[in-house]
Amino acid sequence: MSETVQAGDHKASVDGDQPRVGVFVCRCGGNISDIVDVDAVARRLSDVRGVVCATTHQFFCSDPGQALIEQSIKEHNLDRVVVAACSPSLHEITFRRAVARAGLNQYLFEHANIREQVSWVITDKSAATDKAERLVRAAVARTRRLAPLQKRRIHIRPSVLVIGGGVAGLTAARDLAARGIHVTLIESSPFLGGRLAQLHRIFPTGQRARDVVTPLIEEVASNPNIVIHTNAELERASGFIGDFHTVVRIMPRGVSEACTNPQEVIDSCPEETVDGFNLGLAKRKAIYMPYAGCYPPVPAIDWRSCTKCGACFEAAAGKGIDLDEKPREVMIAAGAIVIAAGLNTYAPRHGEYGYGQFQEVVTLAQLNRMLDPTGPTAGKLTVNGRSVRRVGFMHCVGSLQHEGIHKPMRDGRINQYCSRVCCTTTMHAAEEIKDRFPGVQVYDFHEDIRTYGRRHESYYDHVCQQGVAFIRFDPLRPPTVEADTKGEFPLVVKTTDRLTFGEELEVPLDLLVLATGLVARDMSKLVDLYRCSVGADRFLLEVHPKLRPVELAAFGLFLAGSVQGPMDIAESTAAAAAAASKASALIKAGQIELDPFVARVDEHHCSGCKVCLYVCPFTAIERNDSTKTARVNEALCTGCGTCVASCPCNAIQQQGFEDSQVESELMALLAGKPPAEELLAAV
Amino acid sequence: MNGNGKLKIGMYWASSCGGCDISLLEIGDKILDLIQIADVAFWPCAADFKYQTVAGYPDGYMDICFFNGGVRNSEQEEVARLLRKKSKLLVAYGTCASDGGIPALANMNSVAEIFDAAYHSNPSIDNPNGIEPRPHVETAVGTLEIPTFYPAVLNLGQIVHADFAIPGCPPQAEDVWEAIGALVSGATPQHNGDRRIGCTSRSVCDECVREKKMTRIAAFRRHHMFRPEPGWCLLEQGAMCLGPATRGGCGALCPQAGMRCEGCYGPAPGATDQGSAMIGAIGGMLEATTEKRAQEMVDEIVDPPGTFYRFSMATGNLKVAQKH
Repeated sequence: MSETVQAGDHKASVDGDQPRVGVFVCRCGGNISDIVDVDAVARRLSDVRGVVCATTHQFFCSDPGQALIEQSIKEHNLDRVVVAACSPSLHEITFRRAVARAGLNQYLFEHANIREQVSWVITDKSAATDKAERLVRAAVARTRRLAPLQKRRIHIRPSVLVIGGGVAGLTAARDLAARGIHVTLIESSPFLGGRLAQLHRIFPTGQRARDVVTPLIEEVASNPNIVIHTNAELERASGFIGDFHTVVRIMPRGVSEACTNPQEVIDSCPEETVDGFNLGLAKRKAIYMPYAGCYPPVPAIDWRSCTKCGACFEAAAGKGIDLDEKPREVMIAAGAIVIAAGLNTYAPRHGEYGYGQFQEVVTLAQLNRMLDPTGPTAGKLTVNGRSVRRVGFMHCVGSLQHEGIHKPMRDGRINQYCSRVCCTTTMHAAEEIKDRFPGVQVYDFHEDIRTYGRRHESYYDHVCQQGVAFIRFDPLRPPTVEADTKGEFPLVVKTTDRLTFGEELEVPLDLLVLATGLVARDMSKLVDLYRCSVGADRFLLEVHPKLRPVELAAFGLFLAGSVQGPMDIAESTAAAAAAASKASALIKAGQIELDPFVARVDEHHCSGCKVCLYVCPFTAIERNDSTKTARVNEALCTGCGTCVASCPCNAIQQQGFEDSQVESELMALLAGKPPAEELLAAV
Repeated sequence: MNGNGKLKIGMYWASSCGGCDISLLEIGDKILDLIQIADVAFWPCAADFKYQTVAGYPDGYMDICFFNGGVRNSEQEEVARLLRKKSKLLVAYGTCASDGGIPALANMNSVAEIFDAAYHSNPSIDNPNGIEPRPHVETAVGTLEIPTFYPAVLNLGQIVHADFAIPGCPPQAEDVWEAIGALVSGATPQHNGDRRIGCTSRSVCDECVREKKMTRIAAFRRHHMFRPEPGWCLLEQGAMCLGPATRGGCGALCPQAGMRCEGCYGPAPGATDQGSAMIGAIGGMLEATTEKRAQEMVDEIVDPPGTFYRFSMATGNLKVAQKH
């Protein structure tokens, strides 16, 4: 799918010919010339071997400036161009285009930065002029070694794979399809909606989560441009930007739309198991739908608890039930991939703040299920059949952990980051408890409160007015949870309160809610298949948090939502919309041109040691077993240079950054004092 | 060619162990073929030629002169310069002459440290007066002069221009014979742009029959710690096999026998620094997922300079002696 583009003709001189270099030193309207004696730089450079013209201009980026470059190329028959000016991030492309217009290959150009690296940071005029000269000499030395290069052009298949059927994946799929792009959405669980479907009310609007997720699912499900696969697990992947091939394994649902009486079928099932949707607070059948109005509106069979007794088959009169359904594989071809795999909530360790020890200790997500009128307790605040009189919230469980204080998780790490959403969720839940159960006393144990978002602080203000008691503990001496020996309440929290100067407190409670943090899911398969970058916090890592916030380093992969880190619903949907927007820009372009700075293997020197296969973050290298040499797939190569550095035979070079080019640049910069000479001098 | 129409060849040893001289004999009965076409004009190890004999030769008298060993002192430098003048082709023979070899490991230490070990502190030394060699000593019979000890071992190419280099510790007989054949034919021998002959254009891995399974290195193991599984890459098994970073030509002798490559043919083609090339290569192969574990693995490597630069300290970038 990739081909090279003819950019400029092949006017480059071949090795052996003396290159004809033109040097253009920009004044930048005084930005450079007030400090650097640009005329002196041009004069000194004109003596350098191979430099046939060296000139200055007020603004080389201006139309007349560019015209002067083009004219000089033709007049002096230049085949190498050096412009000494601002940062290449500003005008490298401008000058490359000018060079191309003059009929020269645009990669026979080198940009020396004498503004940001010289005139803006050096006050001594003579030193600045010397440094500018040295930088330009280095650029000339490098330029003499350059070879003409061609851009890679890659065609983009007009379809997108969205991984994840939560709010971010749904939003991205909807936005992409709205632009006429074909979307395949895959979801690993049997139902769409993700974590949003499990929430109760969401801030900052106070809407019911289901009122947000249901219309969104409806929009996605009814769009003819979107194909949905639930129960879909990633199996294999190959390809690259423009042409990804992903094979997913569709696990058997056991039930199809042909089943016309789902509720009767569910009722017929004799097997009961823990209800994961309600976070273990209730039981459900082995054939189930998580909640009324779920999508797809077709039950699914939980094969771990199903005994294949056949009761459902009978209840459905054989229609739409297949207890022997087999997994099947589907191949999805896509030009781009949006990853919206979501995250997990932190699972407290047994005994952490009494979790697992006391039934009265629950997580914030469980409380959300309890507050839901359609949930397992029908919206009643009861534990063990007893009405709750006093409820406590414990902040930062699984977040802002401290080395030496908190026990590491299974992978040996602790979560030092803030999970960002739990504080406002806690305030929101406290507000609802105060509103709906005015007699209940609420205690809030925190190390810090971060209701940072727009309209989030008002929740904090409101619960303060409602009389929630705030207790600030010392993070190095976290509170302890014990059974209340007096017996009036099941639990007692013992802590010191820094708001009252270290007062020792014992707070008896009926219910303790742990505001559990958010953690990355196990995404090893995903990371492995698409070679995603992973951050120290185990979430997927964007290229740049500000400049390229929803792109992965591997081309054609976009990040949507909390797969990238803890986000609330608003942030997730914003990120998903951004990812969809980026992906559709790519799809609509139909093709992209990539810089030619890819790695190239010299087969004559490659001994097939496979070291480069270990290090390539983008699986862009494969070994040809018949020739026993490595080969770089140019469409996958991002030009990161890792293989170049690792090759013990120097059999891999990066185009545009070949050793000879970098070495001659360095030698010119260091003005020729190689270490061997010094050693000889010592002798 | 002079007089009788036969080639004049020479062989000299400088800072070396003598193994290279032996390896030249290892070509076996081909030595008879060699002396059919060539006369020995200088070979201190095998024939009685004096310095003055060589000094008396016209410039360029010898057609081919093999120079083995690195340059450790002023005498060796003087002979290197003399042989350069007297030879049409001067060939660095063996790894010491090409890259410094084992003697260049002393470049890790200053002259004072080397003398301390050699003349004072080693347990086997009996030197009650603490005598050290000096270049000039006044005696009753006049001034005695011995060569000056240099602060570092250099390879031949760092003293004079060497036309070609045959790497190896020692070079393998087949490689030597092939190189000689190429040299005596008068044509420029095939080389890789780096004028190394008697070796391949790839690394040892190219000749090795062991295969990588693409498993990562779990821990570094030395040879007494495990029995290598046949057919499987030694590096992946945890042996610090320098094959990927070492010039091929030996036929992967050591790895085939279950012994890790120690790197005796010097840097792989294209690479100048064998040690950093190897370090760069294993960096991406470690199983360690945390920095701490990676550090532990690195700490398990015994004698890193001696492991990674065993044969190439003179040409590598690790110029430790300079710090003294």
